Amino acid sequence: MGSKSGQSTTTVKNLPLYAEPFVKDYLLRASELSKTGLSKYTEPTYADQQQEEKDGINRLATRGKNGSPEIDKSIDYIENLLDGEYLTGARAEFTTMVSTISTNNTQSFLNDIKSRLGAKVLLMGDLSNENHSQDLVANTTTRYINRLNAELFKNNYDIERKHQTFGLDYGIPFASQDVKDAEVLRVAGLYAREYQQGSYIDLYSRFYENEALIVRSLDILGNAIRSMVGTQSSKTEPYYRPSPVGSIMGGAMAGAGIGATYGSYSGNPYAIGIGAAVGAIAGYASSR
Amino acid sequence: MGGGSGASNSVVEQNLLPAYAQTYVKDYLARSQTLSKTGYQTYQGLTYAAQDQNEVDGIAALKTRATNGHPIITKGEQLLRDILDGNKLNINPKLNDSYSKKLETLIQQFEEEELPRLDQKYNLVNGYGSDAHQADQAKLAENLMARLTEVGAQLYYNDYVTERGRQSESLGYTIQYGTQDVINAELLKQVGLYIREYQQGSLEDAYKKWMDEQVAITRRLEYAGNSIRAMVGAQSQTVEPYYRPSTMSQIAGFAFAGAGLATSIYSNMNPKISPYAPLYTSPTNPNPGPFGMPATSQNPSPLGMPSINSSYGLGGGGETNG
Repeated sequence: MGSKSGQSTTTVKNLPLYAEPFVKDYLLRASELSKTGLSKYTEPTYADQQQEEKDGINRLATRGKNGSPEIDKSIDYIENLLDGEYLTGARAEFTTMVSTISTNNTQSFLNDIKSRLGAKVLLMGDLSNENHSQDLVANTTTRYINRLNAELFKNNYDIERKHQTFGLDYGIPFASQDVKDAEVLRVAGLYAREYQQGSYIDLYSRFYENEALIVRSLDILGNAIRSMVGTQSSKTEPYYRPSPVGSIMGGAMAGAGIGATYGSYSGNPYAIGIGAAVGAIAGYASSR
Repeated sequence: MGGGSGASNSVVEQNLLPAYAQTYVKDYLARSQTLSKTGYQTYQGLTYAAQDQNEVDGIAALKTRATNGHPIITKGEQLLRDILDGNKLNINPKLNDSYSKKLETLIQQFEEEELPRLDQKYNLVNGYGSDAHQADQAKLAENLMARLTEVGAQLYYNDYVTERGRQSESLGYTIQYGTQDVINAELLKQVGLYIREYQQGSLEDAYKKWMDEQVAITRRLEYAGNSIRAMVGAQSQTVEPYYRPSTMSQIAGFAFAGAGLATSIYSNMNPKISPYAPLYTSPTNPNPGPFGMPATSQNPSPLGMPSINSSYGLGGGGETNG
């Protein structure tokens, strides 16, 4: 179409006229409010970590690092069992028991039994102190203690072998305790980190909130304006209009035709030219 | 609009809202505007419940429990430690007394029954104090030593074996007891968390109240905004242009039409051969048909049309009107 084409504009209003005063008032108030702005929140938004929580976490950490006394002793005990330290009867607790039996029996025999032996016929003038029965039991305690000890050590071995096998039942649960300790230590760190992470999130949220305040204030007006979107639309479209050249040509041809007709009866040889010129001028004028 | 006089506007109203509803719409707009300008009264009531005393006491009790543990667990842990350390082996305080009583019984039997019976036996045969008598006494003493050994073994050894068994059996409890400190620590942390959760709730409640006051003004404003947004699209009004030829075009058109009409009238009133007539007639065919073809009675026009001069009065031919 070039500069010779035309345009048409279509305007659509989707808001009743009687609503316009309300809309203007709404826009004005929204504008004023958006300039006033929203204030920042200055109060705390993340609660302090309580001392109990800190103490609990510290105790978890300590436990995770140091383990449990009972569990540590159990682990030592199981290791001793598995190492066979109880089998030989060399441990102090066993030898103490054996020694106690030996001592008590020896003392009892010597003090309460041996002293009662003796069946000498008392004869006048016999001053000897001979006691043959006591002589006969001189080595009795040692002999019986040795026999008993042999039996005790033998029985001890059998019993301790059972303990050794018994210890296997608990080997795995106790061997897993270091893993649990490590988990406890990790969890202690996790608890501390969770609180710290929460504080970071809170800080960021506050920062973001403050950043958004400006936009939110602005969008009070923006919201009002968005309400207006669609209330009125305008569409401009081109339409075809003959170009001046076309109009000149058309006018010239029409004028020439009229001039030819006129010349045919008037005999004016210039009628065609004059008609064409006048038609061209008229065509150009109509195109403007 | 082209030339200023080329177009005009037409208004098309599409009233999508029934007429009877407009009253309500206007009322809605007016009321929402009034309401939106009304001052906001913040909520003065409580929005966060105070901690119940039972809750407070419960948390305090949890803290005490977590801090101090439980006596049963504490004692149990101590016992387990003693057992595992071997402190319960060979310490039975009743063993020696039991041993003494058994010894006393054996001595009594030995002294009151066995030795007199042996002495009586050798007295009857006048062998009292003989070597045989003394050898039998020694035998009795050895038998007593054997029984005494059994007593010692039964008491001390059995006690040892029993306690050793308990030592191993204690393994079944140590993990439970050994993890009580973890449970207490978790409990203590949980106590702190309970307190913190309540405080956090309080802080968030305060923030919500503050935020409510902040948005109250905007919310009021949006009462009006909502009513306005409800109107958008309720009624549409369209303004459209339509094309109209410009005045000059109309003048030119009328001028051309008038000139054409005038020349036609004049040409009929003054039939005169146009200097251009030979272009349209033939000397040999003074009565040509259209397109220079002869029009005969049998074939007046090649296209069956009447002769050009017959009714339109144009051109110069033999035939003329009237």
